[in-house]
Amino acid sequence: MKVRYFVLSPDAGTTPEELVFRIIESGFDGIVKETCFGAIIEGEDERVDKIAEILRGEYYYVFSKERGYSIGDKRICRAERGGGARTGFYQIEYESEFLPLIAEAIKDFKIEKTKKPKNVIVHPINSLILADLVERSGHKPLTMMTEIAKLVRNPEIDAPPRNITTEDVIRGLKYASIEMPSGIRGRLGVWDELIQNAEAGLVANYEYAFGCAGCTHNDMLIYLIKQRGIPFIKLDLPRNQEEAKKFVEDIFVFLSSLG
Amino acid sequence: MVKVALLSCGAEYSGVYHEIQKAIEMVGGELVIPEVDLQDVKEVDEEFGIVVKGGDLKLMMARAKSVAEERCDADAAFVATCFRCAEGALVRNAVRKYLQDFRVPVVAYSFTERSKAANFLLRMEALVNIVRRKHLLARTKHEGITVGVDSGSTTTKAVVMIDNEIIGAAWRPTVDIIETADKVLEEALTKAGVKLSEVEVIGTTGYGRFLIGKHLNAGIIQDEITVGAKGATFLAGKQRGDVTILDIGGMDNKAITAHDSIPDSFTLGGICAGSSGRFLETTARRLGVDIMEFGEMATRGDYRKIRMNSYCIVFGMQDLTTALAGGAKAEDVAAAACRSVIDQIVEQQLQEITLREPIIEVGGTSLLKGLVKAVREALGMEVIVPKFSQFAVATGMAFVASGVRGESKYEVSSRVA
Repeated sequence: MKVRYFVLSPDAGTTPEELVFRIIESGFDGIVKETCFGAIIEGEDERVDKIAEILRGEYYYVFSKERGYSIGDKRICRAERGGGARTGFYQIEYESEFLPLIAEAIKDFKIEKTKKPKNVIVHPINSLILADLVERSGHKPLTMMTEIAKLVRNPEIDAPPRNITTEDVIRGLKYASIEMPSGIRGRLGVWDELIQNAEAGLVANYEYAFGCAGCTHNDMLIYLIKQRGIPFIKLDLPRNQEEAKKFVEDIFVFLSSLG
Repeated sequence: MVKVALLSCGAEYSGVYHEIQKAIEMVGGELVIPEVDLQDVKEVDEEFGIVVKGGDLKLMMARAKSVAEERCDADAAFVATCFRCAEGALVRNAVRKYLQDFRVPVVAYSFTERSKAANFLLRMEALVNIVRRKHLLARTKHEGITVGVDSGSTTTKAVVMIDNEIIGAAWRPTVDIIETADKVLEEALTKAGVKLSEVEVIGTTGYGRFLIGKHLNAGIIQDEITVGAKGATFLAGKQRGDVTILDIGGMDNKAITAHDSIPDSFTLGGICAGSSGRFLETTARRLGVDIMEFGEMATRGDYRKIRMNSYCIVFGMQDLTTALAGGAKAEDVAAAACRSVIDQIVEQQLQEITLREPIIEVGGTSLLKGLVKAVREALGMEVIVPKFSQFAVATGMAFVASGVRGESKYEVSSRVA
């Protein structure tokens, strides 16, 4: 079972309603939810990934990443959790501001899909843009969302909303002592598998990052990627079209160099 | 239902979010997450004057702004960040101050992955009572015959009040909680010349409040923070205006700021015995003197003559013992112990509130003159120790109980239901 976000670039001519219609029209038999930024779908892994492939092929301005929670999960439902948006929502909202630049940059870019997919860890670890670009190149993005999915679907843990427990925080001691705040150690405990399985790293400087990447000490991940000795690239988010073109080019050149 | 806005960073990733939520619900509150826009988040640096890196800390500030501007329906706020995060501590304090300017009741807390609902419970209960029982705390005159029983960690106290006056008070070391409460109540009633049947309402507070509340058929059960503040302002004749109440107890300590007797922020110690009366008791025992004599002795000493490298009840005591072995005067050691207690509170706790003069010092330790002197010197502020200061919490309970005379049992928290 997999859940995916589809986020429309704010300047896209397509509406979320039209996007949902296209998903259903393409024969998707899972759950589809229209949202203010696009859509969320839930279903069998292969079918969900197939929809991502179809939509990316048809609309250069649709971006996608996995989501940890099932559609309608009460642990993050506004009605159940006291009204306000969860932290991850602001991550999507912030990244949406860059989608017009990125969409325009990839519009005519000929992306060659790799036949030898590698595990590419991204920083910020919940980035929509980075996870999307890694997937477009045929590699596998290592993101927090996949780990959160494992946690929140584990019926044996009851520590809402993310099911991160003291055990995860203690696991984080592998990377940082108790002199570091528990919030970053809890994240490190969950990132552990991602860090160990990473074969490459894609790092971007974000002015704002929230939720799974919202800690002040979040950049510790960059250090840990470097420590692994794996190939990685570090970039700044683009501020104009020219920078966006270079941003996208640099990323795809790096990803294609991985094999 | 009292709505408590949760303004936190790191709670979800420390495994404590659900513990905070559980504590809010256990005291009959409702957790609220304020709604904000990304634009609000982008503007907080300017609004608060603090530039931080963490997105979730910025979000926390934006959410606080939403509470202050009443864009979200919240009665109080719980501000929490990870322990040992410097940026988190800075923002937590800024948010707490900001909300206080808007008269939003607030409590700040730094958690670790070990924090459980029990750690948050008393704080949440007080926060909810500040809102829900504001009318009882705002009353300025006591009427009728009421009793307040404070079942504390070290001592149990009872106060009998008739028409705005204390007419009987008693205390005993807490041994068996119920048995001690019964004896203290009986003694206070005897001193007052009042029969139990004449008492209109009994109120219970302190660690054992629920247990003895049930046993004594209390008309009201309330946390020791809110009633302690009320008792202190009543005893000090400062029911109007701003004050800070300092209660260094047997096992923990409380510092509460209040306006017109209504607490608006508070901090509780309780992790380290070095900031409690227990440290002073241990020192007195080492010096071979009674605790009251110890207090007198400390006024004659000079804490500067003793080198203390630790506030710890073990290692600090080691420093004092070493000083004694080196020929130090007992008076200086007593003064150093008093100074050590207040220094730890100043250095590790008082950042969570904004001190307001005068300081009203209450609780059993307020009778130790050397400690009061140390507090006055360390804070550089006016310190009032009112008559019956050791009975402030029980007095506040008796006072608050007066507001529920004639009512059936007052809304008791679900914790004892």
